[in-house]
Amino acid sequence: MTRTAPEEVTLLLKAWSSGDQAALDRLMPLVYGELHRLARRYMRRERPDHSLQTTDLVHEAYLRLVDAKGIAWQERAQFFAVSATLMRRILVEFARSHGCSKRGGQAQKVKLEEGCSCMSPRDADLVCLDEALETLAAFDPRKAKVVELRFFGGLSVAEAAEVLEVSEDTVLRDWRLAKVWLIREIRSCAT
Amino acid sequence: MDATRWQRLARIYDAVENLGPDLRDRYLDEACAGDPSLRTEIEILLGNQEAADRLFEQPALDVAARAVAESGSANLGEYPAGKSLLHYELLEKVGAGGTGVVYRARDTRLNRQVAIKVLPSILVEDKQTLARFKREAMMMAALDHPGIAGIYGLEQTERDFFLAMEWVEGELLTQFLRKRTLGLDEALRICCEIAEGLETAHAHGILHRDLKPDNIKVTPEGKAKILDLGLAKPMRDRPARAVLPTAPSLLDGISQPGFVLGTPAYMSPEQILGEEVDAGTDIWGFGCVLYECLTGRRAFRGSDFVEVRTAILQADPDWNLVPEDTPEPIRVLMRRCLQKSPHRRLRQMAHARQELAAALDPPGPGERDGGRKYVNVRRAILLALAAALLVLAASVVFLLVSR
Repeated sequence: MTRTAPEEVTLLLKAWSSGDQAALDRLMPLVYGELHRLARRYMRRERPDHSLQTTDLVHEAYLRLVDAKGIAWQERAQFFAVSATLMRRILVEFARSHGCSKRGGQAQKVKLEEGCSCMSPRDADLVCLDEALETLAAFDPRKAKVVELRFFGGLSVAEAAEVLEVSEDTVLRDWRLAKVWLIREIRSCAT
Repeated sequence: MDATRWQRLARIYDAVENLGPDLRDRYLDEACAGDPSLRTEIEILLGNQEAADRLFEQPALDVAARAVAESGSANLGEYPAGKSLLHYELLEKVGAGGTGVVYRARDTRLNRQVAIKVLPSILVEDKQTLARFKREAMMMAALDHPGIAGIYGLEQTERDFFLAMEWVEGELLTQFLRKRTLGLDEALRICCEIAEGLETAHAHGILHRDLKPDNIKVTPEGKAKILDLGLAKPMRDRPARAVLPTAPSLLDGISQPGFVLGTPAYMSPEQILGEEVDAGTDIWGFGCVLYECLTGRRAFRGSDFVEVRTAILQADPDWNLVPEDTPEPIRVLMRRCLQKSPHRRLRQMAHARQELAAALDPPGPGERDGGRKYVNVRRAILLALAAALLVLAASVVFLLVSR
């Protein structure tokens, strides 16, 4: 089984953040690889008790993709921020192309509660969420960033606080309000 | 939303979210006095708490992975040995990467071994991705060279999309070098074959972008073959893109046994710096491979990526490790391949191939004799001419005297 070398991801992330779009072509398969690995485990139900143990799986996946161990302390914040943005772009793009491919390529929104035969409501959520985050960023960029770091980047509250140079309390408050506001937006986006 | 209003909402929300219902009502009565719509808005948000916790319980990667798993259509390209895809029988899984699973397989029609790469369905579902993938496969198919593992076909079943490729027996150069130090001639010959393969790829406008010993196989006959033109891209098809491409290149990371995605040790300085890359990046990679074949050591080393990066950007390889009997033109070639600045680096793989070929087949003693013989012939002709002149002069004198 191919294992991603975290140092490669790190280098590619740096290349991407300094403007090399080609680095993205190499990063996407790495992220997709982790996506597959997780999906495969879920399909096989290797670990049925999902609440606790899949958290570990997801955590492992993030560690392989976003490993800040080799990063100089001063660069950590920027590194986390870049990787969160990257994850957001790749996963939203994934949801968009995956969910729409069977509908002839036209983006369609799906009701959150009803679901759809060909598209998991979660796919629609990711696309709607992305749009809602854009809206939020227009009037409260820090809250949007907190969501990007936590939800897409898989960062802990402490790490997000480090990136944004605010207290953990602030991150927690931002996170709680942003979440409920985003749910409202996703609902209106999906109807 | 108006920023001032939003800030007010946020302050009130923070204050009430953890209060009990009674206290909450009382607080809201007071805080939202005169602004019932603000109160409604906050109450809606408070009602979303449970849904929010559920959706954001796990990070996005997990949400996406579950979507793949739940969609049921997700075919990850994983099959047990013995499974047949069209007329190919899968024999053994030999590798897996983000973009597919690779098997050693048997083509039952032609009765030969092939490598089969099955693409995961999520990548195939996207039309644009598929179109791009087909285009790339066609480009690779045009590369018919003994030094490059070829593509036989692009196949499709109801469930799967896969590539049939040349199966290359042998060992990865990495393993090959780990076992023993190569003799000078052997090292030069292997590198000469690699140079030929790369030269051909470049002539077709295709870059490798990820050349390293892990992507080169040495066959039991000792021939080198380049694998994983997986990261290959047409040389001029790299416009700066402001938007995300719809999908990754499906050929990215074609796996073979032991394939490990991306060791930064072989990245060129311009790759590390995130600059545009061209044939120079492959020439750099080739320089690294040449150095490693001659010395048995990596040209640029470090215990972590920061050290490796620093070495690539700043340090020279340890030239003292290059064996003493290495011909001077090869030392020069290696230095030219490993110039940090792409502008000062060797420009054409053809030059590398020529230097290596010349070092492997130097002018023999016979040719040198031939040269000497040529000199002797010239001298003989001159002597003969002089003699003829003398005879002629003597004849003239004789004729004049005898009259």
